[in-house]
Amino acid sequence: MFNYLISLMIILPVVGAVLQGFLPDVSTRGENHLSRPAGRWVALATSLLSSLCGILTVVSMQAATADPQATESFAWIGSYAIHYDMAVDGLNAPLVLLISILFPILISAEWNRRTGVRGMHGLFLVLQTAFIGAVCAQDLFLQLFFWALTAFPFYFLIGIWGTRDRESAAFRSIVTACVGNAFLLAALILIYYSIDPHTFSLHDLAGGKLNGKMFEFLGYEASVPVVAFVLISIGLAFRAPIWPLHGWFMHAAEEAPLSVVVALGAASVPVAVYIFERLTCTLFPETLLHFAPAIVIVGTVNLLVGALCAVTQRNLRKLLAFICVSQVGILLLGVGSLSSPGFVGAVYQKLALGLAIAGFGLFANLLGERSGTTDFRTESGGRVFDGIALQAPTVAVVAGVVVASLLAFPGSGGFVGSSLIIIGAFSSYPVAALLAGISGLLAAYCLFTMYRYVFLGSLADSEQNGAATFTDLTIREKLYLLPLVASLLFFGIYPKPLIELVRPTVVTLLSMVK
Amino acid sequence: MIQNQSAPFILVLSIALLALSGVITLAWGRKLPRNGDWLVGLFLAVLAGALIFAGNGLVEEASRAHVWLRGWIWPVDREGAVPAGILQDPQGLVLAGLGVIFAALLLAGVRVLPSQPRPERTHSAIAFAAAGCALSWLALTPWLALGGLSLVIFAGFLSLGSRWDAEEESELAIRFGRERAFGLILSILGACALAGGRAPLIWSKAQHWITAAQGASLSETVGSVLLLAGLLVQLQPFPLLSWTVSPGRTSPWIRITMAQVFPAWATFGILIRLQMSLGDQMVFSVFGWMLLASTLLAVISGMFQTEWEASLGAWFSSGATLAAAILCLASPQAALALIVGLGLGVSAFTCCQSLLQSAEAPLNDETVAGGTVIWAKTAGFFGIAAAIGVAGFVSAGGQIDWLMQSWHDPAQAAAALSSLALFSILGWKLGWMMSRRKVASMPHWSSLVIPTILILLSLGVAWNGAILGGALPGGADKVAPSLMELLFGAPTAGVEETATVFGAYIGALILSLGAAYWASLQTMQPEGDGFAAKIHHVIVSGYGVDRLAKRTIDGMTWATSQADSLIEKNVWQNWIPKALTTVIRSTANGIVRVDTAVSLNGRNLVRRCIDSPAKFLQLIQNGDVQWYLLFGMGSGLVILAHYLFGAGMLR
Repeated sequence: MFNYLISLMIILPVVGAVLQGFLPDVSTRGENHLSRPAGRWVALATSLLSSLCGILTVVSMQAATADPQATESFAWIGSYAIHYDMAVDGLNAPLVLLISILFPILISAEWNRRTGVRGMHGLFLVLQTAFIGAVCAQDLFLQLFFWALTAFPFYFLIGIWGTRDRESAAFRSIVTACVGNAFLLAALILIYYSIDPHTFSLHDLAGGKLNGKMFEFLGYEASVPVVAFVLISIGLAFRAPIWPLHGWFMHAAEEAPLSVVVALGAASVPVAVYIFERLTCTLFPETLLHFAPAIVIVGTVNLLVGALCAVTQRNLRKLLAFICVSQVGILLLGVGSLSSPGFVGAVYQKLALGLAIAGFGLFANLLGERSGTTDFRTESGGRVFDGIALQAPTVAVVAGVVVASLLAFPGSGGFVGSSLIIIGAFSSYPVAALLAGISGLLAAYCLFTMYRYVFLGSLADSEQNGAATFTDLTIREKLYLLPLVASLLFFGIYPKPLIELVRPTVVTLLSMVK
Repeated sequence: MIQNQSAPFILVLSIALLALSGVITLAWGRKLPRNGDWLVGLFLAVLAGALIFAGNGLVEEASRAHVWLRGWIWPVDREGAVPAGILQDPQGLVLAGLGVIFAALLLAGVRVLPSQPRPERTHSAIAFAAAGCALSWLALTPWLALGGLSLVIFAGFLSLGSRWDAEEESELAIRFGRERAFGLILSILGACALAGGRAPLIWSKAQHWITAAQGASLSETVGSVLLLAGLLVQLQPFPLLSWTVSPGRTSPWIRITMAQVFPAWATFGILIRLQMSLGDQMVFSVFGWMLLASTLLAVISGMFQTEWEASLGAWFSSGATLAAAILCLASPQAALALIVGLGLGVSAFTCCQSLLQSAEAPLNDETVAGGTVIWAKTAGFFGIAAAIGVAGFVSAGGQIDWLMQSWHDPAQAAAALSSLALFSILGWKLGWMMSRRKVASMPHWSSLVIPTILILLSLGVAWNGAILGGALPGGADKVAPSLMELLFGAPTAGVEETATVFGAYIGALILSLGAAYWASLQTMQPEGDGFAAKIHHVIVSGYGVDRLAKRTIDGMTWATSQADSLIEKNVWQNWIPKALTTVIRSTANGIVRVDTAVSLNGRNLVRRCIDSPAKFLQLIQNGDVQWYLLFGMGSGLVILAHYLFGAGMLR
């Protein structure tokens, strides 16, 4: 395997972000004499190149081994034992794929933005770098660095391109991220000084080396793994978003551009759960075992509350946000089950969830762009959209596939992850698995209702509402939505290669836990 | 030369191609000649050829079944495996073949019936339904079978979508999809629960999923209940009757076949296999009695309907639940006989009804009689007879089989007889109502070909080789080998009182025919808005379940809105910001106060330290004080010198 693919994945988007910012605009000689920034092609090209590196990395991985692959390591800040240490294994490979698929699509989705397209594309590219870095980093400090870096583009993306109350939403998102990162930093420092020689390397810290370590605080003795586990959990719960710390996410979902909401829901949320999996399994396996029931309880509460709140929504943005909250619950159920199928399901489900959330957000974006609203029901229960399926059948098909995946119908990506999670969780936590089923029923209710309100209905009414002029997907929209839908179906029908990649890593990690 | 071993692959490929033809027809059917029906027909023929090839392979090798198993989501030899596989056995091949023939007849019939606004959707739906039904019957694992069921559900949704633009039709289609999705989710949940403890979860006669000796664990019982409940939801029993009695503008024939018959057949493909794997479980008998109650409720609701389409929906639902009850309480063979007869018979009847309805004479218009009208009505009656289980049809064998098996148990025998009678009453009532239909024009004779073929397919001689369809005890009327015996093996020995059972069966049928005639002449709708009218409304609307569900959802929505409002608007947007602001401001104010106090006290202290020497120096500078100061200092020095000399310190 070419050994610098991960670095290329990280560097290319940043280079692209800088380059596209300095390229001049190109004037078109059409009717409107619009000036189009040439930089967007650079943005798309660098993002695509980075994605290609990501896909190549995953495709060239060896199955049936839990060892880290495509490793890159050199000292960064030698005096503090901080290393630039990157690798892929079964745990992060699906996320590398997800981010590789997602960001070129997001850049394409914002192709025709009228104001500040350079800035937006640049920030998306920075996000791509930061997420890939956070996912591939094998050094605690490096991981926190990249993870913290993800918060800032979101602040600007929400604050500059958001809707009416964008400043407040941006402020809330950055404050929440900073609070979360502060918890993570505290945990990181605690871990660093608890082990001798001090190190941030996940490889050196693995294997239960922190087990039994104690520290003194205000005259009390406390366990390092337990305190660090709690700090990491709280720090990531803010970003995941775990109920009831989800308020900022709802606010951002309401105010941010939908492509940014997609990045939050489809990338930030799965990566937060991934960091939790990676750190807890590697650093505190014993503590994870003790806290597993708590993780399941938190997951189940998220599942139910998210699904229940989703039922009441009449806006696609908030519906998407609550579905996201609910889906985080099923991920935690899989992690907390600590069984091979459940954990593998959780790892796989992050990919399926990310793709489905992206699909949902992007079709909501299309509706918003064309009709000016993302409400699908009025306060009195009346219609906003009618008969869109007749005028825009491709949008209806895309939405159908996404809904099928979110409901875990056989043949869709969601089925693979969800079924494995339920299989894994049922033997240990049958009540939680049953509640997951109930949340599935609630999700079916609200998604089918949404589908009816948006896509089916009376043509006569739609003319009154102006929906009769609704146009189907353009070629550009088809080009970026097709890979998404195809991926959802592909990962649903033929999951074997990826499962075979994920399973050895998960089995090795779980053997340390148990 | 294609090897027999490749038959599973060919079957999978032909099913996939059929589904693909459905996708193509759905996407580009409007631009294709004849709205793409030839494409679907072509791939139906391919699937039929594959089924014949696979069946021929079994005959050549004199084999009962071939199994083809592959890991899909999890390694096949591990606990929690989710494998995919094909079970190439006579049962699957024959029933999948029946589905293909049925789909082909439907495809031909779409052109005979009054045209639908979007025929390509119906063609596409037929392709998906046939592919899904074949997959359900040929799947070796519940996972793949549930995949097939999903295709059939999608087909039903699609077939109801020829009029998606209409408000009530879109509601009907979404309700269909939603309720079936509920069932599917429950089934998947149940299969997951069962799969957790074993590897792999496959249909096999030899291997029971839960052996009676070991007893079922909680998760296994829960899994069985969920899987079974989810599958039974597909038959739309009580409390999901409302959909079956809801009015719609989709052709009744399309609606009943695509949204009820096909899903029921696909469901039975899984239920019959499941009964062999989990039949020993108590849950089956519990569900059996529940289904009998549901049959009763469906029949009552159907009897009170004013529109024949609504009665028909309830009637099919009652028949399908009755067949499921027979599966749970008696045998899969009896259940299959009834569901095959029911599906074919109801389809034939609805086809005839639709033909007559399309030629219906408006009030005071001239009517025609005789000719093909009488043939259509006769075919409709035969359809009802096939569905009910009149002697001569395959379903008769199922009814008699159940009666014989339950004869020693008075409660079950009474339930069997009464449910047979009630189900028959509703069927005959529909027939009598059809017989009174007045038409203005003769249906074309070619349009009667399809119901005729459906009736011929439901004849008992085709399934169990007996002229009376297995109704005659002892099999004295047997003229050909039994297909049912090939599918299920030889039947178990019956009871001795066969004549009594036969008599009771005939009596129930005759009684129901008379009662139905009387019922068809009655107006079942009470006048006014008194208690009787309210009860009538509740029964007609499917026992008010919709209202209850709406109120429950409204209540849930209100409670969740309040909770969300409490958390988001109060806690996050109000209390926490206020608390944080208060804490930050209080802290800042406190610090400012402390800072002010420290500064003030410091200033005072400094002033005090400086003031005294400064005043003293100021006094010195003042001229009036200088001499006093000099005198004082001089006196002091003299006194000090005196004492120092006295102490000998100065000499």
